[in-house]
Amino acid sequence: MIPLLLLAPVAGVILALLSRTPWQAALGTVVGAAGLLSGAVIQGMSPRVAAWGDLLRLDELGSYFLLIVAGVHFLCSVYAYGYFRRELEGGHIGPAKVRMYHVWTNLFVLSMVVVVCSHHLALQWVAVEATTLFSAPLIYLHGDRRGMEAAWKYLLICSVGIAFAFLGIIFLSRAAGDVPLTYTALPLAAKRLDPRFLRLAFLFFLVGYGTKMGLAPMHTWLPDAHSQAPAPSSAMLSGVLLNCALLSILRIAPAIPGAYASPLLILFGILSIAVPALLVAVQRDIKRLLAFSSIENMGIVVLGLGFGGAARPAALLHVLNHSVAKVLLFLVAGDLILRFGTQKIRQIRGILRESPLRGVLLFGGILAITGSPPFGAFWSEFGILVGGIAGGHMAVSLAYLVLLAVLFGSFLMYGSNMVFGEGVPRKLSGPELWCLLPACVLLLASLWLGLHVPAGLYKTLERLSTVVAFS
Amino acid sequence: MNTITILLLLLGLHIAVTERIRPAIRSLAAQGILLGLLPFLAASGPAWRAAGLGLATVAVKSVAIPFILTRAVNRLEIGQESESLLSTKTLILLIGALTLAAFVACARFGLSGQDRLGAAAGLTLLFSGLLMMTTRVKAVSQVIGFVVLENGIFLFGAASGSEFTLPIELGIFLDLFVAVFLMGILMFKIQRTFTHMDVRKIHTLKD
Repeated sequence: MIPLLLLAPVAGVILALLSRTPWQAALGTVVGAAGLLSGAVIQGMSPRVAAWGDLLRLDELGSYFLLIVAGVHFLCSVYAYGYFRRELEGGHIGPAKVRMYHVWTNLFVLSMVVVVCSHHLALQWVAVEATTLFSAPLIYLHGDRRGMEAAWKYLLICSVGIAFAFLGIIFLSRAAGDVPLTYTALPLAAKRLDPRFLRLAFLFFLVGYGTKMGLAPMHTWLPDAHSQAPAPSSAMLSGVLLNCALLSILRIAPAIPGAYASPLLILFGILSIAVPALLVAVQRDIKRLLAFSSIENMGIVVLGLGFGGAARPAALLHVLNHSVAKVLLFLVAGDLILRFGTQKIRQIRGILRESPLRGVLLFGGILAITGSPPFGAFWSEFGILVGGIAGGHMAVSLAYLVLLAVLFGSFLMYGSNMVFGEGVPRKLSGPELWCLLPACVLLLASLWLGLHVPAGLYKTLERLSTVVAFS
Repeated sequence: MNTITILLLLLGLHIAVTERIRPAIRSLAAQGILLGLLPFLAASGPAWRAAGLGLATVAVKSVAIPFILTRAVNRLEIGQESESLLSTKTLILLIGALTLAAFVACARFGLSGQDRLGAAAGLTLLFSGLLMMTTRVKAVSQVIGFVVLENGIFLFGAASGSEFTLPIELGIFLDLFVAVFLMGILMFKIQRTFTHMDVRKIHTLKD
């Protein structure tokens, strides 16, 4: 199964390289994405663990993350067709660059598939670094000053971050001795490993991959990079790349003593919620706003993992909920930016009157990302709060609740201004099928996850949460 | 091993302190050759493995990367001077302090003899690379700093005896090469759009 999963994005790259028109390149990506998604679903339903040699192995946890990658990639590839058609019509971009978008996007997805399928932690490191390299050209796709500045920061800061993660791998191999550095062998041998080097390894993993995940205070590159990429790439960066970095931390978790890891995770988690809570109120750019919300949501996930207990399955559920809602918002935002010709929040107004569907999608997305009922994120954020209180972390839980309320207020203010506010009347053309259809699917998915958490999913998450539990 | 480590450390100090870019690139290439010798000195593993790793190190670190950097310096017609936010005196003091800190850290972690020297030198290189990335104003110098940092980690890994399978090691080199290659391309693009390479002036994105 794993060779087939790797083949799908490779096919996408080849089709994009062979294509003569942007339309053909987009079709190639959609075909590759559909292949990847069907492979991921088939593997997800099968109880067997897929393995290919010693280096690649796809267990249930990997399958869960792969399904998110594949689902988001498929929806984004459909969206990208409509998005770039409009950009080409508007003369914002040339056909050659659209083709490059498809080539880099497929390579980017390929590297993420390797991240989730890596059995050996050093191979996983190589793949995470590759995600940075393949996604950097997407950030400066348009070739303007801001894009380049963002890409420069992204390459430099994430490369340093990932270098620290590599130091973590060196410490881990020092601790492991002759135990292979695979996520199946390490937890079994955890008791025999040198605890000092194990702790150092975890610290460097957390700081290194945490940089890639956008955890505060290493988050400085994230708002720039995520706001400068084209909308479908922003959606992929926020919606799935951050998860891949998280998975890399989760893979060594079972070998680390919880008493050491939990306080660190709680610290980084609450800090990553607090920084956006302070900065969101002064944002002027809609995509930067969404990028800050990604930092916050990664903070929520890490906080949940730090709380442990009942918060752990909720944190894993939040990974899915965040991806669904954030991709939805980036896709709608990309469409609105093309319509209004600006990223400035103040100039995007009165959406509901001009285009009710877009208004519903944007407002629904904002409610979904802030964790309001009846959307999915409500349950995961609530589960993390319950887990925190049950675990005796009263003060942090209270701070978490207050910060979420502050963020909810800011987002609601921006959302209602954009959706309901009176603005210069602007004629928005009819719904663009390819752009709005993926967004509708995501809104319904978020609603479905909120109205009824599927029993099968919850059982799976409970099982997975024992896999990522600290020793 | 000890001689190589000390030479690596001295070259690293030269790169960190010098104000001229071309000599810094030459020292970087020399570091690459020295690092390429390390796999041969390690006792474990078959000879072809050491040869493969050594060749890959030299190819990437002392041929490909210096080539990219030299080309960038030539084509971009950037001056010879590599400005720093800190004076040379402050730099030397800071690096001295960092070296001391690295040795103390390695001693506290119970590394002994040869291991300790290699690991401490690796950490020193890592720190001075990081220092270059944060205090140098020219983009080329920041990339040089990044490569020094990578070299430090490489030396640290070699000293603490961590080895992975050959495909993974080659993957690590490939990543490093592509990273520097992309940074090189970005430097050209930044030069074309901003008409200068001073990173201080590139800050349109902020809150």
